[in-house]
Amino acid sequence: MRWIKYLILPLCGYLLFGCSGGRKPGEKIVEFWQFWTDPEARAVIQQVADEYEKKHPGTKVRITDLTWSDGHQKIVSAFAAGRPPDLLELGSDWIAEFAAEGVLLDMTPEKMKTEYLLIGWSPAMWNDTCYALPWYLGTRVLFINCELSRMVGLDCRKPPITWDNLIQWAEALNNLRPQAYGFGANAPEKHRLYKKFLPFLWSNGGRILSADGNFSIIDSEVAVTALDYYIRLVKQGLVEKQTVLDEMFAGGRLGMVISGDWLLKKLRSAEDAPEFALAMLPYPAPGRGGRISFAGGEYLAIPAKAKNPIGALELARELVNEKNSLNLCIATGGATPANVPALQNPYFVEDEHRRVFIEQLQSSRATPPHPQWVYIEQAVEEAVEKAMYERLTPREALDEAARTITELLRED
Amino acid sequence: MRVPHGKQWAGTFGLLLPWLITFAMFWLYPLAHSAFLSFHDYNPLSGAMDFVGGLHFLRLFSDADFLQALKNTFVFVVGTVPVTTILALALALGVNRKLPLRGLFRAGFFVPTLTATVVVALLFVHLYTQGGYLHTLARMLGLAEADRGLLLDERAALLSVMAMDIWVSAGYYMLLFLAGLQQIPRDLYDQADLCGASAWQKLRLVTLPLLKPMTLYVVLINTIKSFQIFTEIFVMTQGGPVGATSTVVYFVYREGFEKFRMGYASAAAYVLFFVILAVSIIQARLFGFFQRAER
Repeated sequence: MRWIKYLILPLCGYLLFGCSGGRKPGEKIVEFWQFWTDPEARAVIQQVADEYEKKHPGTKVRITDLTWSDGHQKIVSAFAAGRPPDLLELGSDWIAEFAAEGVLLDMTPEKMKTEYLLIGWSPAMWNDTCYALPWYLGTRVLFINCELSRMVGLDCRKPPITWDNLIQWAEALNNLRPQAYGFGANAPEKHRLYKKFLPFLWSNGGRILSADGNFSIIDSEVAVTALDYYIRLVKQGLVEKQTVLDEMFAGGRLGMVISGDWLLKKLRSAEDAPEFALAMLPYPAPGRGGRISFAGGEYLAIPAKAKNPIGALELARELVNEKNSLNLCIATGGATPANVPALQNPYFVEDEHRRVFIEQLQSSRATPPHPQWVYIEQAVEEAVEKAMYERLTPREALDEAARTITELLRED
Repeated sequence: MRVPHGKQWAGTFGLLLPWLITFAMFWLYPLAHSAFLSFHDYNPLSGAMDFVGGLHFLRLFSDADFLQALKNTFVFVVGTVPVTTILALALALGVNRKLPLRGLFRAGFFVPTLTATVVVALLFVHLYTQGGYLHTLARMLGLAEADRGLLLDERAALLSVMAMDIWVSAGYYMLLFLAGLQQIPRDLYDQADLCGASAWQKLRLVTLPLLKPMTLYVVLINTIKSFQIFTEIFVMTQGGPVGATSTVVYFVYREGFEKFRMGYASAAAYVLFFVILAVSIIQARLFGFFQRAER
């Protein structure tokens, strides 16, 4: 059995020294977890990491790719195990959840330095403290099929500007072709449905939480009007999942859909995409309310237990700078940077479609930062779902949501 | 019988050790830890662990979402297990005969089982979506609404997932029944022929009684698997619309891994465990399993 030692010794050596990931003595590591996985975007992230390593000899950037489907779980597991990375990309509505548990580093001093350079700070704030740097922002706009519009004498360059106009357009564009619909409404998809309803609520002057954050006011009269309108709009077309709606719009089977910059990228790369126009979301009525859309985004945060927080901050600064933000946008073809000088680049300003996104972004709103957001979101989505499926009237659905959210806030 | 001595025990134990370690680490420990968690409020982010006694279990039975998930799970089990079992038996009887291309049929029925559940689920999402083949067929039969796919229709969503599950599982259980059929001695059928038994009598008096142990196995395994339905729901419907397809394991997943209420999710998982245990005992009793074991 002596031969066994020849097998066991190398194995022990590998386990002891092989798991260090090829780290050289004295070398520093910046562990970065991020969600850009498509090859073009990933290449830009790698390029930023390579440049960072050149500028900081003796430091290596180790990138781990996450996916939106299970990234949140992996991040929570890493925090629970006490082994978070040094730098972390977070979705805008996750920051308060992590900040409230004290697992993120205070980045307020960095905010003071870069406040004028970046936009989209509100989701990064919790209890007047900043916990992340805005990196990329996203909003939703109205996509209009110009070919279908022309068939009924509507000009897609003069888009609907009030809620009533939007319903009239949806009615007019419905059933113009077999299996074609006037408006594409989101099915009850988790983490998506609320993003489609909240713009109507906000535009009509409604809010989810009271100013002091102690109770919910989602049952206000303006909120009920908004949900009532949203349900009427949903009935003017097709209810499907976002991916199917995007696919159908690109295939010329939807008159209008509210979607994000990923659809713009899809339409531009599709050979047989219909002629289309983009517009900001409409006002509730002439001279009343706002044209508010949903603002989401991706943020860079440093965990409180990061081993190399200084390296992480330096890398974060590189990632959010004008050149690198712009490069990533160009590579993906569908992202909006939080960096103000990058936003002013001709790439955005001289592009008729991207200009609409930037304009809409100015009047977009993020969800209220709250550690219980995942539950609040569920209550909002359940209310919209129950009204869509006529289980409850809009009034009953929002009353129920307000009660649920207020109870959650009291438990908190 | 030879009783192994010390050295042999050590050898046997040594050979079993890798399995025992894996069993303890990945089965026993999580099982015990989740039982412990079900009596606590545990926040994985802060690491805080507060003892709450049986509160989670009490809350579960007044939680409308959990009750809806439990009801859907029962509907799923009651709707799929008998149909799958009868279909699998019928297919097994069919392909047990000397038919042309019998091998092709056997393989064809079994192929869905070999395909990854996620792949099958994604395929069916396309078939069920608005304008998809199965949605169009359902519309022609007046069973679907024009403006939404089958998985977005409150009445049709769970039935659609159940139909897919039956299609996927029937082939696997067919194979088990086929193995059971081939164990039945040929002489019994010859004797039945001599007695002038009809095909129906042979099925009722010879085949089905001798297939009873395999039928119990099929029903038990299928029931347990159906109670644990998750992947199909996760990929196809995420429990919607309006909770129409939410099942207990999907509820456990949402509570545990989306809301990080680990204690509450563990309590729900234990409720499901006891439900499955009770149903399995009832099924085994109905099939007379315990009487046979006692004899």
